[in-house]
This record gives sequence, C-alpha cells and structure tokens, in this order.
Amino acid sequence: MAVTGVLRPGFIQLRVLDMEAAVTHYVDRLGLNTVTTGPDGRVYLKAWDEFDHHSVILRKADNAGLDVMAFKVASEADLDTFAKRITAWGLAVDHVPEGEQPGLGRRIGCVLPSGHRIELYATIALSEKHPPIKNPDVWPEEPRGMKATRFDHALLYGPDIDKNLKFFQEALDFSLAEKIELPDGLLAIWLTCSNKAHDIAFVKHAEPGKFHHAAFFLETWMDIGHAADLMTRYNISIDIGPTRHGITRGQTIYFFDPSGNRNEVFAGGYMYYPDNPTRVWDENELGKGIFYYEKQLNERFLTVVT
Amino acid sequence: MTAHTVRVEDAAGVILCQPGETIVAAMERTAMLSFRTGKDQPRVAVGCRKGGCGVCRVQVLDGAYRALPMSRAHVSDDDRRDGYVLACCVVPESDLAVRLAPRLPVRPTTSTTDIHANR
Repeated sequence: MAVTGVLRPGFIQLRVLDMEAAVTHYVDRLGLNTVTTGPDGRVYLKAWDEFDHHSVILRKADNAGLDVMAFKVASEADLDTFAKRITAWGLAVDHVPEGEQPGLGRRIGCVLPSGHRIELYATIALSEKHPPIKNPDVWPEEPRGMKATRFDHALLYGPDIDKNLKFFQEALDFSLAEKIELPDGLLAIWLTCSNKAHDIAFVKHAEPGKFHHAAFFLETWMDIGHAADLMTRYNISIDIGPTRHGITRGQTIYFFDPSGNRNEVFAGGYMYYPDNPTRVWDENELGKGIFYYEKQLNERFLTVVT
Repeated sequence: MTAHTVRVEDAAGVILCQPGETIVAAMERTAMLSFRTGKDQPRVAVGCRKGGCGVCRVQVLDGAYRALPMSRAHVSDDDRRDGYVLACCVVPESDLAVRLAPRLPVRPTTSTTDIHANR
C-alpha cells in the first residue's frame, strides 16, 4: 500500500519565552535553517533535508508549550475529504486561510479529545534551500550542529487517548504501531501514517493539551553521540540519554530548549508497514520499553511537560 | 561578586551558588560533592531547568535575586509579587531563604485566537 492521504508530520508551532535564545538553540545547536520571520514575529525554520518551506515555527509567548502540530496530506481533494470525515467522526473543523503562514496554503484544524490542536494542509511552497534535485549531492551545504535532517514526530500528553486512537485510526487512517497497555487501560500509543514507527504519540495525562517533546531525526548513532558532545559543550539541559527505546527501537537523547520545551534527537527505529501487528508492552517490562538500557523510567519522563 | 547560600525551609544544609549561577544549577553541580562529604544539601525537584515546566517552583522568603525568563503558566504576575519563582530561573544576589511551593494548576490550552496572533 502506497503512502496516501495523510503523508507525514508537516510542521509544529512551539511557544518560547526568549526568541533569541530559542533561535540560537534550534539553528546553531540543532542545525535547523532560518527561513523567515513573519510580520507577527513568528520565526520559521526547516531542517536541511526537508523540501517544504518550513517545519518548525517559534512563537514568543509568556508560557512554553505546543500551539499546533500539522500534517501534510497528498492533495487539496484529500483535504476536503478529511474535513468531511473529521466532522462525521464528531470533531468540529475550522478553516485557516492561505497565507496565515508564509508559503503555506489553506489548512483545516480541529482540537483532539486530548486537548491538542492539529491541522492538515496539502499545499506548501518548495523551500529556497531545498535538498538538491538534479544530480543531487548528499547535501546542499554541510549540515551544522546536531545535523537534524527533519522534524520527525511529537509526543503529546493529555486525557482520553483512547478516543484519540479511534480518531486517528477512523478519521485519518493512521495505524497503531505500538502501545503500552496497563491493567487499568491504555497508558500510551504510537501512531503512524507512514513507514516510520511513529509520526505522533500520546501518553495518558490528567491535564489536556500538554507537550512532551518534538523529535528531530539524525542519520546515525554516531550523530547521536556528536549531539551529546554538543549538549555538554554548550550546557544544554539534558533529560536523559544517549540511550535507546525498546518502543520504536530508536536511539535517542531527550533535552530541553531554552524555554523548557523538550526536544529529542532520534536515529534508527524500525520500518513499519500497515499489515504489521501492533507491538504491545505491559507493566512488567515498561521500563525497558521506554529506556532499553536503563530499564526504568526517570521521574521526569512522566511528569515534566510544557 | 561572591557566592551566596540558599536555605530551603525545613531542610538541613545549604546550596552554595557561585556568582551568576541558578539555584538548580548549583544544586545539581554540587550534588556529587555533597554525597562525598556527607554534608546535607537541600533538594529541589529538577525538570526542564529552563523555566518552562514548573516543577522547581519555590517562594523566596528572604533575600535578593535576579530572575531569568519563566513561564507565566506557573508563575503569574501576582505570584511574582508574592515571591514565587522557578528555582531554575533564580540567580541569587544575596543569601536566600526559600520554601518549596507546589506548582499551580496549568491554565487551559491556548485558544486558536492566541495561536494565530496576526489574524
């Protein structure tokens, strides 16, 4: 089955307390490229290996956290179809006109049962500094800092993740790649719309709309090591790592941006196909599922969110 | 510029902050030393260390300090007037006395109007 409908995570908009510190973090350290600053002060960024206009938006605010995560769909016709399907599923759909962000077409949006806003769009401009297309070199300019190749996925915390699961499966055709099932119900779900082990994930949490992390893909385990060196050299706040997840099998470091939003650099992870069974973790091996080498959760993983 | 001590109500020992250092940074840096010397050192919960998550919220009872940017979801303007701060964003400018202060309930999710600031 080809990837159709919802293609991939498109962009994420995060609130930051100090824009200058945030730009230093995301551009100089993580290695994203600056695209533009909007008239309202929002800063648009993209990773070196992404074709589209932007994938990360920083908005200065007096509190940290997630504004919205958006997914790209294959066509404008798909966008209309998803608007109908989301409404039929039972969520209110709103419309954001073309041009609300530079380079971006119209979007549809809704608020999930977990309290998070997601959006879908089909049209976005090709970036100026996109990966080469004709006789392509491996990169247009040598990657910088941690050399993040793309905005990869996000993990969000909120209530009613059972309903989120049904919504993503029934309205958006996502698959459940992996889950943590405790005696009192679902604790966490890893959802994919592609061949990646996850494109978005949720952990059950009392407060709605909370943000756990935005992940950026690195090419290798060696790059994870290089990222760790940079984090210590530049005194970046590390949560945990370098380590590995049992869930998704990704190699990872969790760390925080200068506003306390958690980031992840992520390498590896298995290929997912829609006919794969859902992998299941229970309370007996939960620690190994989250942190494969430590075999236990750190307190911060379950409690610290923005 | 001199080092300053931070006392935490109902906890033995002090955290010794070097000039320019936050309470949380000093506590984490000296935790191993405290372990080696056997001297007590107060503990403050450590989260993002950047003013976003709110787990290290304290109330300053006495002393002068400089505050770095911190989330108003956890410390409102009224809170600030009452001495509430996030310990990861507090740089002491004199010896300080603080009390651990559980974080406030987080306010509801930002509305669409807030997100699209230019509409």
